[in-house]
Amino acid sequence: MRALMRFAVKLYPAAWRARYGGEFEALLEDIGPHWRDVWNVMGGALKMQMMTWSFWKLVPALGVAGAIAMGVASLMIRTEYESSGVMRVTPMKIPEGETPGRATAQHVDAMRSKVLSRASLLTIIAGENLYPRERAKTTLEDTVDQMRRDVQFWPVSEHGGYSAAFELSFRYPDPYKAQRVTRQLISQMVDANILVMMEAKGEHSAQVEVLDPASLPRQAILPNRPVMIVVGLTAGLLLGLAAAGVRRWCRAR
Amino acid sequence: MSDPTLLVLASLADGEKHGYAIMEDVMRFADVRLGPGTLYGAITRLEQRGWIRPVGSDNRRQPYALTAVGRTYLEAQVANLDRVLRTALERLRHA
Repeated sequence: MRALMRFAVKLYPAAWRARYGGEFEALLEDIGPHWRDVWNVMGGALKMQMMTWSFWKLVPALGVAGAIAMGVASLMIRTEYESSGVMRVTPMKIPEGETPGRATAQHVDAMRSKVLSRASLLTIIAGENLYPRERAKTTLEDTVDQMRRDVQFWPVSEHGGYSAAFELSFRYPDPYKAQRVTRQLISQMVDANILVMMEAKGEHSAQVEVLDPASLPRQAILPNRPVMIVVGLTAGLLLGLAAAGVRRWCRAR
Repeated sequence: MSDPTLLVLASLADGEKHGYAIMEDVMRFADVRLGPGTLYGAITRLEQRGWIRPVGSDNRRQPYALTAVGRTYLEAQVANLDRVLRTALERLRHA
């Protein structure tokens, strides 16, 4: 405890210790060491450092501290790779009274529901041994929900006619598994098209094409360390400016 | 009232004291425990403003005393507080 208190005293600026160090140590001897006093002295040292640093030292120091903090935080975020493929669904037969655009959208939704069903995703999770940590800690339902969040469908662009092109992607810490799973999801979308047509009993049908097969991701999409560090640096600089303003206000009082 | 600078000034109003004596005195009259970091933060600010000054000492325990400016500031603060307290007390009586 005494060693910790001596360390806490050393956190004060050298000029302050030269002026008050002797009497401050005498006070600490009088009151005896206590945890709450260690924290109080550390807090006092931090405030004193903030009060004595020049503007040009305070602001960059907080900026660098913010960048380092975000850099460390980025190391704790799960690294994720994203594999994606592009598909196109073109309606061949449209139900009576239905508009072509709406029929295509409904067809894609039906296909997607089948691919994202619990049974379908559990087969992929077991086959690829996905989410081992999550499965050890949480329920299967939570793991399925996690996978649903990691699978994304994005419209790519409007093609001629009533076809719908979309990108299917999957995020995972292992780039090779991400690609294999995306490949399986695309394959299941093709199978789902046949199932949806069978369930429609010939009332509507669509053709599915794979425009781009599942990609092998080369770079992680998360965490975006450069962006996080820049955000930390900016936040630290702004905090430094605010601290300098508060300090100026305190001194003026 | 828990402003450390005001508590230190109030403690020194009846004569010079060193850090530990100020802590004990503030604990006695205000029931507030000033931590060592808080106390010396206040002492540093008060000395920089010229409201207290160190007085001669023959050991490491450095006593401080109010300056004339510090006494004037304390009197003004006490007068303000007194006005607030009287008003609050008056209103409580008639509530």
